[in-house]
This record gives sequence, C-alpha cells and structure tokens, in this order.
Amino acid sequence: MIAIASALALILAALTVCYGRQGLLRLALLDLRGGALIAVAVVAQALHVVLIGGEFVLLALTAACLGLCLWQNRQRPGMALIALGIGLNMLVMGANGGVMPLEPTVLAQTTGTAVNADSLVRYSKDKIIPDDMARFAVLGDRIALPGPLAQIAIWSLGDLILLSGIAVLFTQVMKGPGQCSSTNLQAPSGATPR
Amino acid sequence: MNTTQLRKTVVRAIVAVGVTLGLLFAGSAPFDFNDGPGRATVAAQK
Repeated sequence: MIAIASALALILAALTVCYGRQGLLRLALLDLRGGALIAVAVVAQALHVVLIGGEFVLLALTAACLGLCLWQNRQRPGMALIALGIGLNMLVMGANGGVMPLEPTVLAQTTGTAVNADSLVRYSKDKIIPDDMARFAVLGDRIALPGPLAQIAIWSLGDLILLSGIAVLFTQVMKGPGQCSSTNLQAPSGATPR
Repeated sequence: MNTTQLRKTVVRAIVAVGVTLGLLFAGSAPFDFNDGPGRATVAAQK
C-alpha cells in the first residue's frame, strides 16, 4: 500500500509542479463515477489480503466492481490504459487461483533473500511462484525499478500500465481544457478552475 | 472563489484522490517491501 500511495503522490507532485495550484483545484472536477463500486472492490481486496482462502471469489467480485466502474467512466482520458492494467492483473491473478505470482529470483536479486517457492505472503496479494510453475508468469510481479527505487517494490506489467493510465487521467484533468502549463502557472490566484 | 467554495473544492479534490487511491489499491498488486508483510516475509527467510 505504501508503494501505491507513494507512486500516486509522485504523480501528483510532478503534475503540481507543472500546473500549479490551479491544477490541484481542478482535481475537484475529476468526479469519477462508481465510487460505491470502488469501495466494494477495496473491501473485497482488503479481505483478500487479510483472509487466506476464498481468493478467487473475492478477486471475481473485485473484477466485477472495477469492470462496472471503468465502464461508467469509459469516456474519461486514460481509462483505456487503466482498464488494460487492471485487466492484465486480474488475468494473471485469476489464472493463478486468485493470487499474484512473485518471481523468487527477482525477489532474491532485489533483497538478497532466498524465499521458498509456494510461500504465501501473508497480508498481501502475492505468492512466491517460480516462472515455470506460474501461469502468465510474464504478467506477475517481476519488475524492479532501477537503482534505489528497486527497494520500494516489485511491480507487475499491469501495475505500471495502470499507473500510466492514472498519470494520463490526472494530467488531462489538472491541465484543464485548452490551456498549457505556462498559462496555468501565470493564472491569477483568484481565478476559478477551467 | 470565496472560502466556502474553496473548502468545497479542496474536499472534492481530496475525495477524487481518495477514490483514485482506492482504484489503485483494488486494481494493482505490487510486492511492497515497506509494508509489514513484505518486511516480515523477507526477514523470516534471513
């Protein structure tokens, strides 16, 4: 959760530098539909990481809620990337019994720690599954960012695509219609968003 | 924009970020070293 929150904070910080206070205020215009569906999906995933067993049912419920929510917001920028990222994560988790496969060699390279295969990581969505035992292994958690960023987390391809979609969505919302960053930075402090 | 409008706008912006964070939490699954489970898993194997 810390990695996800940090990534979102990084995106927001970069866009705030570009679009300033007005950009932040324009976030109020985002108004995503399906907040209740997202809440149900969050509860399902919270149960998923706390409970062992029933992962597939909770994953199916999450996928249904997120799918409906994405459909309701399909006209918004970045939603195609967000849907693709979530879809890839749901695909690999669904194919592996509701858990995200974590490649043990990547974990060993990143942390210097060898973890036994088939270990379930408590309070997370991950299970240590080597590539030859995982389905759609290429979509599992196996991407470590370069340098010191590698210490933050190990990501899946779907995670990175999902974050790209969020970045596109926030960029379009914070930029505002028909304005460039320089005009936003020079906008008077009392100006209303849009 | 008066103070009340500004407050409403800020609250709506915070809600928007919160909903996005929920979407990210539900839809993504990175292995996080800094969460308790990540640390515990790595520590347990050392």
